[in-house]
Amino acid sequence: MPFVRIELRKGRTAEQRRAISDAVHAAMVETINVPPLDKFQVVTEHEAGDFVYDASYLDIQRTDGLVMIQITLNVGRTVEARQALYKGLADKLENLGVRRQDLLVNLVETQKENWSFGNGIAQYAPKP
Amino acid sequence: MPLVRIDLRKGRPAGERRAIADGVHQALVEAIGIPEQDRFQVVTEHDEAGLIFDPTYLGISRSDKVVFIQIAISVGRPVEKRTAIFERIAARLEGLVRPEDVLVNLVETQKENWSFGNGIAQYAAKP
Repeated sequence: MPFVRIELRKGRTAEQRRAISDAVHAAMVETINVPPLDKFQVVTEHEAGDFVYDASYLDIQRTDGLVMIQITLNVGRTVEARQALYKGLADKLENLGVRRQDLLVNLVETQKENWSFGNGIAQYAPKP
Repeated sequence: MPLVRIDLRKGRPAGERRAIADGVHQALVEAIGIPEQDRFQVVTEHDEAGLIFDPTYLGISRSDKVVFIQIAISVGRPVEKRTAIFERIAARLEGLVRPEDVLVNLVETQKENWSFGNGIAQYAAKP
């Protein structure tokens, strides 16, 4: 299960935020084999003062259209798979008008047994 | 120190949000012996577009009263302790949140990755 946090500036419509959310999920399904139904996300809008970024760090020119995405997911995917994810995210969001430079992604890897999808059970933990 | 993020749909009164936060903390105290006062939580409400979940993944029937709980904790607890956290949270939230609506994710981090204040890593090994 990935758990996705999407942070952006206030100003996009609910439909636009929904399209971004769908695109992020589609990129994960296509590049790292996330099951299509395994979709759990939080999308948070921020006022200008609460959404802080450098406009040129690493020579990447960013705008207020920036989307910050933090994905918590199981450990073990290859570097190549993770790179494919970044590219897939940039491709999908570009189709929605999000500039490639305006996409910041951070992966947080965790163990399989560190998830409960409901009912107080660790569904992915090894069976005793 | 756990740092707990609770994300839920707008609409629950403050008292209910507080009770959910209390229940999560009590569960951590019971399951892994967190000190009572070691309580640091952020609760964030979201509108419909801001909290997205699949209503049936893994055969679990979820409603829009779903609650996401993400907990950063120090690494090193055995699997049984970690799975006890899930069980205790679901039990503690019963009556407030359907067990099917309780999603929990643990993010384990190193002991030295915390500072509780004063700019000091209180849990780091002393040099």
